[in-house]
Amino acid sequence: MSGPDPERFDAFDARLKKAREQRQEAPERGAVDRSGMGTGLQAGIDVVAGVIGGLLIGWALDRWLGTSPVLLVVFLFLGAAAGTRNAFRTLQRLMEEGDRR
Amino acid sequence: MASPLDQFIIKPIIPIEIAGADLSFTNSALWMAISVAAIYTLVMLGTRQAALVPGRLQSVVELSYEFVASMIRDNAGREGMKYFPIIFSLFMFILFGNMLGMIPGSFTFTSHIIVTFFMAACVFVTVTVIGFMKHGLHFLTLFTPPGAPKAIWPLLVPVEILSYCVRPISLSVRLFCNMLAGLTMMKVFATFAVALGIFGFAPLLIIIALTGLKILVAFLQAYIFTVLTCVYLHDSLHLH
Repeated sequence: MSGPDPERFDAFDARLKKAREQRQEAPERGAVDRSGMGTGLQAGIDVVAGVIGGLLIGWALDRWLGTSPVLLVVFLFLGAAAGTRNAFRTLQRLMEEGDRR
Repeated sequence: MASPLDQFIIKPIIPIEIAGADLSFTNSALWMAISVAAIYTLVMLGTRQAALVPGRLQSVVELSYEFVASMIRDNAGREGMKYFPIIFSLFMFILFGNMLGMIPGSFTFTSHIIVTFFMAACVFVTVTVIGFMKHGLHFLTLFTPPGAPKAIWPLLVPVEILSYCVRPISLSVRLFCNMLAGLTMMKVFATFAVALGIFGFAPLLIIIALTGLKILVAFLQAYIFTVLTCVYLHDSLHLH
């Protein structure tokens, strides 16, 4: 064979391009695959943390202001709402991640 | 018979007491020191000769760098890369703490709520300070959900503020619960294996499966802690 054969180079370029496209198309899997239970636990902990946080803040404020148990009750409900909000956010983020994959 | 919770007892190794405060060097501190030393050794050995074609150790270090870097870029955006050092340190410290805790007879410092809560509180304070430094008082608009009618703000804003404030609790409880539950479960099944005599092979099989699961959880929890840190960082960098 004398000199480089341009046709073979073209064929090689086409092959390379195809290979690259295939690599791009391959669904990129994240490092971690989450199970349904894991997702549920994640959201559950968010709710529980909200309730605990609300209780702690309410209890501390009650002790400080001497309004027991008004603020404890108020912050219990606020904390539950905040926890639910966080859980909602967590699930939303996980779903977006799932969509991207 | 030893209780399955004995593994979490903190024992002083070198008793130190300064001004009435107990500052002993404990088994928890020992394993923290071992983790830091292990991370330092790994990274130092891995980057000693920056070869174009990486060797085994160098690949491990490069992989962990790439892993954390892409995590920050995906979750916190490009500006987040400024905070790479602290997030990388956090990830490696938790990962090594969890993984070294898998060695029989070792101590898992991430199974103590005070350790995880301190880390989560540091993240919380850092992220809040970054938010105020970058946006000033404008940062407070983080608590006003966009698109919500002004009439329900008095209800929404307290909930938003509270949901921001309980983040360190959920962050720390998640990591601590997972480590605590896994380790306790393993000890309980190990007790069964001893007590059942020749039938102990059944719990033994469960322990083998649990060990695999625990290794996954150890990695996953380090990952989740770091990803959530990135997400919080994103919130204070970009506001909504």
